[in-house]
Amino acid sequence: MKGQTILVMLGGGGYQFETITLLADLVEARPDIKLVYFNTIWGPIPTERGLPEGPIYIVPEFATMVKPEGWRNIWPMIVTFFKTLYALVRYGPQLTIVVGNRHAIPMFLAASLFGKNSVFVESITRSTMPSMTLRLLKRLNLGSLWLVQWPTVKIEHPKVMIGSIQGAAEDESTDQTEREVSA
Amino acid sequence: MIFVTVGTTQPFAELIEEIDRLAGLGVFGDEEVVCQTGQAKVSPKHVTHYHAKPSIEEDLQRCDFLFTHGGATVIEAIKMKKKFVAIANPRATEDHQGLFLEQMASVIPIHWTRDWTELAELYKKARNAPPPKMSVNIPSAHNVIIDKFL
Repeated sequence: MKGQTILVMLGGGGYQFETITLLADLVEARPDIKLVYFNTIWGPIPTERGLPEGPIYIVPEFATMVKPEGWRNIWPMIVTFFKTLYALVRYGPQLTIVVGNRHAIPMFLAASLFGKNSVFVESITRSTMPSMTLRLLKRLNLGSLWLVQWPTVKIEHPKVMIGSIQGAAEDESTDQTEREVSA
Repeated sequence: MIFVTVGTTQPFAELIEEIDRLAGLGVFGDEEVVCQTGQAKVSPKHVTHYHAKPSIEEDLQRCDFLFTHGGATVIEAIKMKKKFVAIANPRATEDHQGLFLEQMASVIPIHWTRDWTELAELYKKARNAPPPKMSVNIPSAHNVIIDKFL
């Protein structure tokens, strides 16, 4: 399908690097794609990797998951959920993509209300235990597709697949050839 | 320039303080040291520092050596062919940074530690070694997404 719009969370730090790498590959393969960006820090879209300009929405960063501060995560959850609803109505993205970031939970929840697809890519830094975000997405059954980047991630679910964004060293233990677990 | 990055989600004051101490001792010679301090509440005296930027790409490109927490910056450093030492942040949930660095070290020779007091020794080793390389280009997530949804 040509000219599809994708809603994407850029996130900060390493998540942003992984997201941009994925988006750059997507845009190179499908230059007609339009992107709507969510981010936690105001700043220009890194267009040096060929990403197209697009609307940017800033959402609050989540607090650390330390228990006494956990209640502070309610606010970013609510703001992200309603901004996603707004972006879905205004731009009608067919797909939402989040790499690693906890914002996946409210974004995928909003997308599911519109019957839209969403993809979560687990960060490459999760090599054995899946993140709390992925576990929550699984428990809430949010997301059309979940990808992990190491075959060693301990998770079982029909939706989980092995993919990779960056590549790996020459070693059988990191053979990340795409492998669909689902039947 | 030596660049130090600790990510944005978890404080890692110990790493910044150790780098600052080593800079004060002259371990890095005359080289400029720039630290991205993230959530750490620190005031280093011997290095340039900032809290966060929309993108640290420019500092990564510019640096001759990198100290990084065990995040995805490790992959970025390898792709950029940088020499680096990675330090697992003990506050990372379920020690995922340490496990990630362990996993990386099992397939590619990288210099890493869970103990920031080893930094001076690791710095010397990494500085004198060639930068780690990744050599295989493999199917990636974008192909899966295009096949399924686009």
